[in-house]
Amino acid sequence: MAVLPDWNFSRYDNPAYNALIDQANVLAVTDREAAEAMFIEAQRMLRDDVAAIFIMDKPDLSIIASDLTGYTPNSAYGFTIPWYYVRR
Amino acid sequence: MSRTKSSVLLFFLLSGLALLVAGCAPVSPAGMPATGAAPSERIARQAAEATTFADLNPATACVTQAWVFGNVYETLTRYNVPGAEPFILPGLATDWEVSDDGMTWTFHLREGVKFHDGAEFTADAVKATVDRNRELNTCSAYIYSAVESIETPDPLTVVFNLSAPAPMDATLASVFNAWIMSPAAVDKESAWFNEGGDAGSGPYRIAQFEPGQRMVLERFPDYWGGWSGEEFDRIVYELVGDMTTAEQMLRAGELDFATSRALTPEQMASLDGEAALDLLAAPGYGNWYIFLDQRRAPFDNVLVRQALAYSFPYDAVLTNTNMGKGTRAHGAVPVTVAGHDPEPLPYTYDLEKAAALLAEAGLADGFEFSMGFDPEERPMAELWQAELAKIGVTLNLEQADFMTRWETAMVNDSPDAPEANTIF
Repeated sequence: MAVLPDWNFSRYDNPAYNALIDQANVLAVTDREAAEAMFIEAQRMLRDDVAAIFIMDKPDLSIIASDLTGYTPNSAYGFTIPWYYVRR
Repeated sequence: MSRTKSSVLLFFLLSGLALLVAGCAPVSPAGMPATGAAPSERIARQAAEATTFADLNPATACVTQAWVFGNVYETLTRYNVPGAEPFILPGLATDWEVSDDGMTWTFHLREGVKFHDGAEFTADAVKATVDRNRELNTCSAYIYSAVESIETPDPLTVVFNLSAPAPMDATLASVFNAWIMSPAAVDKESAWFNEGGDAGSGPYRIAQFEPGQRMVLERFPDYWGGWSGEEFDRIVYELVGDMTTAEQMLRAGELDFATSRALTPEQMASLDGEAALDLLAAPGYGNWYIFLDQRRAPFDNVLVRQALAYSFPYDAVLTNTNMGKGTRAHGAVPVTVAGHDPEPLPYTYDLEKAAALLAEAGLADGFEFSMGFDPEERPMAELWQAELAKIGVTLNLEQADFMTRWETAMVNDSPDAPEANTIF
C-alpha cells in the first residue's frame, strides 16, 4: 500500500462505503442536496459497523474582550477574526 | 478592568479635561509595547502563536497564519457561517456559473480592486496565484487537483476547466492555498514574505513585523470596501510566550482575543469571571473519535465494537471536557459541515447492554486492550477506563503525543501500536 489510510486508525475498509463516498463527491458539484443525503447514508454504514466511537463535535473556545461587537465565529476559518467588521 | 477605565474617565471629566480624552475612546493600556500608534488610534490585539509567523507566504502557509491572512488577503469566494444560506458568499469574485456537467466554472471578478502594492486585481492575478500554489504544491494545494486549465478571456473573467467535476466555488473559499496574491509578488520566495512582504488586497496591510514578537497591521486606505471610520486603525498580533503571560495580558486589557490553544480550561473559566472578558464557545470543525483497529481481535467482531460503543460515558465526558461546551457527535461529520446526520447515534451509555453484547460475543469474562491518546485527553480516557472495569474490560492507558502515535500506528503499522487510538 503506497497510500496511507489517512486518519483511519480503525483500518475500516468497506467497498460499498468507498463507492458511495466517491459517488457523493462527484454529485456534490451538481446536486449538493442529493450528495448530502448520500454522505449521511455512508455515515450510517460507519455507525452500524462501529467504524469508530464518535464522541463529540468539539467547540472552538476563546476568550474575547466583552466590549467587542460584530464578530461571528466561522468554523471554516478557525480563529480568524475579520477585524474589518469588528467594533469596540 | 472596565470599572477601572470608567473611573479614570470620570476623573478626567470632572477635572475639566474631557477634551483631552474625547478622541481617545480605547485608550492604549499603559505599559504596552510601542506599536508606532498615535494614542487616539483604535487598536485590536489578538494573541498569536509561533506558527502564526512561521511561514507568511500564503501559497505555502498551512497553520495559524490564516489569522493574519484573513485580514491582509482575500479569496475569490468565502464560506458562510455553518448552517447559513447561501453556503458560499462572494469575495473577490462577485458571481459565478458552472456548466451542467460540473466541469467548467466561470468566475466574474470584482472591479476596482487594488493590491497593497498598487497592482490592479485582474484575472491574471487569479491565474498566477493558482499556478504558484500548484507549482509549490504544499499544504492543501491538492484542492486544485481537478483543474486542467485556467483561461482569462477578459480582465474580469476567469474560467476553470476541470478534468473531473469538483466544487470550485467552495474550493476557492479554502482557508489555505486560495489567498489571491498580487502578480508583482506572487513568485517571491518565502523569505520575502517572512520579512513582512505583503501581496494582499485585504482591508489591512502589514505595517510592521517583528519576528518572534508581533505583527502590526494598518488600514489599507484604498480598500475596495471603503472605510466608515468606525473600524480599528491597527490590528496587533502579539506573540505570547506562555499561558501565564496570556492570562495576565487578558486580565490587564492588553489582549482582546486568545484561543483555548493559549490557555488552560481552568484559566479560561477564571477569565470568564472578569467583567471585561467573555468566554466564546462556537461550534467548530473538530470532532473527537476513538478508533478500534478492526483487523485485531476482538475488534474484528462487530458485537465487541458495539459493546464498547455502549460502554462509553458520553454525558460525563461532555460535561467534564471542553468546558462542557461540546455536543454529542451524530457520526463522522460534525454539525458545522454539510452532510451532518440530523439523527443522533443509537449508542448511549448502557453498561447492561454492553455486558450482554460482550457475553454474546463470548467475552463474558471481559478482555484487555490498550488505547493511545494525547495528554489533553487523559480525563476522557480515565472516565472510560472506570466504566470498562465495571464490565470486566481492562483498558491500558498509553498516553503519547499525536505524532508518535501516528508514526507507530499509521506510518509503521506496528504490531506494538495500541488496538485503540483517538483523534481529536
